Amino acid sequence: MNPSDPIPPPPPDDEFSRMVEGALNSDHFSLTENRRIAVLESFTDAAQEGRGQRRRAVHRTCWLTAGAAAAACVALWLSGAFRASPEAAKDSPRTPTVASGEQLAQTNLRLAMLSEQLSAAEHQWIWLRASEGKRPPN
Amino acid sequence: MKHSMSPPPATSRHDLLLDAFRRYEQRLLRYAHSLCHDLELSQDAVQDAFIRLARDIGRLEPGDFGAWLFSVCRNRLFDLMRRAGKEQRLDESLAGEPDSALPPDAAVAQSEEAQHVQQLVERLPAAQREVVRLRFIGGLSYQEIAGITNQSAGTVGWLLHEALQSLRKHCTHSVP
Repeated sequence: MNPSDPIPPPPPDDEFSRMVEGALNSDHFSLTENRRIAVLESFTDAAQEGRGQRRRAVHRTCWLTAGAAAAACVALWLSGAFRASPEAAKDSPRTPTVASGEQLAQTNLRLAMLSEQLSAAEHQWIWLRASEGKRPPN
Repeated sequence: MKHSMSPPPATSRHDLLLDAFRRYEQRLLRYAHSLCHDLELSQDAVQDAFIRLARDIGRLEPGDFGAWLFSVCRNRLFDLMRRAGKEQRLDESLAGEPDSALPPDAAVAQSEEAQHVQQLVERLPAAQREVVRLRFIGGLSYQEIAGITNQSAGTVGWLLHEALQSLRKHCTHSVP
């Protein structure tokens, strides 16, 4: 039989194998008391370390949860979930806004159409009174 | 004869370590002593192996404790033997002539038959001897022995087969 041959079946559970195992395990060994104490102390330390790791894991989980909650709040705020509804916006005081270019163009067009309906004298008078801050007469 | 020794489920790290200690203390000492025949060095190696288990338990599966302990104990023992200037003894243990002399503090009321078998095991070729020890003292599987001795499981099986054949041939007169 060579090492390259297939693995033979495990040794049979026969009298001979049991005898060999029993013979090899017949003598008694144990660690000395001091060594046992050292080993058991290392076990206790390892157990305490394990508990410490679990505690740190719990703390880490708490911090991660708090962080995730904060991130969710920021994301909601950015998405506009905290902005007022349209109904509420109607009731809220109007704030000055900057007109867009399109709005300015429409306003200028309306002014130009109104200007065409006025006579040149009326037009000049309006602009003069406007520059003085007075209202035109009815 | 049952060789696979998977620890039962334990509730805590401390329970797992105690369970491993109960299971492997004697076997590790016996194995280490069979390699170096020095009780003090054997105790050093086994103590270090268990302390390392406590340190590394977070990275191990409970089912791997046995093979891991034997591997660490073996490496630690060889390291201690080199430091103690026992290279010659180490060479003998790994590849050389058998050493059947047991120190008086290790031999406890062994039967003649047990002593005879132990002497026969000591006379086996080194590779067979190692496999027999890990199998019958350590209770390890072929795969676990292969991992420790850096051989294939097939080679382990072949070595064990040859060793048992040899032992059987020399023991027939003492076995009923």
